[in-house]
Amino acid sequence: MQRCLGASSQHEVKKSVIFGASLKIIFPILMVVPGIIGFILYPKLKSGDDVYATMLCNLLPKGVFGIVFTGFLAAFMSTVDSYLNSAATLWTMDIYKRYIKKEATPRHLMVVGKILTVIFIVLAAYLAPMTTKFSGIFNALQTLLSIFQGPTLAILLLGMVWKRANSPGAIAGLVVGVLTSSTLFWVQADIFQAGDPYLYIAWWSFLMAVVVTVVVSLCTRAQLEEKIKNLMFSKES
Amino acid sequence: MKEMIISILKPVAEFCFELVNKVTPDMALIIYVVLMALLALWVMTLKQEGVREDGGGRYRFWQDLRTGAVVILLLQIIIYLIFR
Repeated sequence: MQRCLGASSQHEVKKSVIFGASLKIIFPILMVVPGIIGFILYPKLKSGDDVYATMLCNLLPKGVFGIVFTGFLAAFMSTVDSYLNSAATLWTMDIYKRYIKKEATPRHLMVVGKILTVIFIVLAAYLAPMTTKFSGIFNALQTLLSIFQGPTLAILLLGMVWKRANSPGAIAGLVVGVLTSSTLFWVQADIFQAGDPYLYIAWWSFLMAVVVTVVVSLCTRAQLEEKIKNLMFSKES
Repeated sequence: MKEMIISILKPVAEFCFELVNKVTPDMALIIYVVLMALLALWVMTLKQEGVREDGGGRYRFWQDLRTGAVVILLLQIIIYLIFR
């Protein structure tokens, strides 16, 4: 989304989203096929997380292995720095500047952002061992994402297609949605039949967020049409 | 507290599980393909001037973003049919 905002025109954004969708199609193949190959080649591996590393070490010539490993690290760092930047900006601009120090100078905010980035890195390193409690890194990632994905999708969708949706509704929907997914995450072993029910958690929290957003939006004042008309989905644009 | 939540949610979860279990893999395949096909048809209903950069000039189908979107959806259907 942030990268789309940097495009030169709406047309370029649409092109990039369609191109992104085309790349997403091959993602499952890229993720599943190496796993199947690894399972056949190394059936005695104890953890699924070891498949990719074992294949890289054993199948690639030394020089190529270095290039692939460098690419892997580059992609990894690019993703991590994007997340850290987003998180630090969000906390600095939306929380620190808005609620803690309204008259903060840009230099002060930059220092706060840097300190927050360091805090997030330390926090991430501290929480990283938590992934061992899941059946794999992929499942850990999906499960943690599922807590926020459903409610976020619900308010984004409603905000795009339903002009009656408003801020109090979105905040209530997000809070109740995250509470729903957190509760389901807490009791998942006792109510879901699936071993890793992250998709079910995301679905139910999405549904709950939709219901709460609609109800709260209908009970509160509608936003001015002038203010939202360019943010709504339209077949004309 | 946890036990109370589980006792409330468990019957609902079991009902949903039974319901989803009734959907056969073939039915799931049909639902998915029909949804993707409907989405492709909807994309084609979007206005042409809304998907071209300048809105004017000679029409070329490969410059029309709708073509790209429909191709992606068709590829998605084909991949799903192959790997089902």
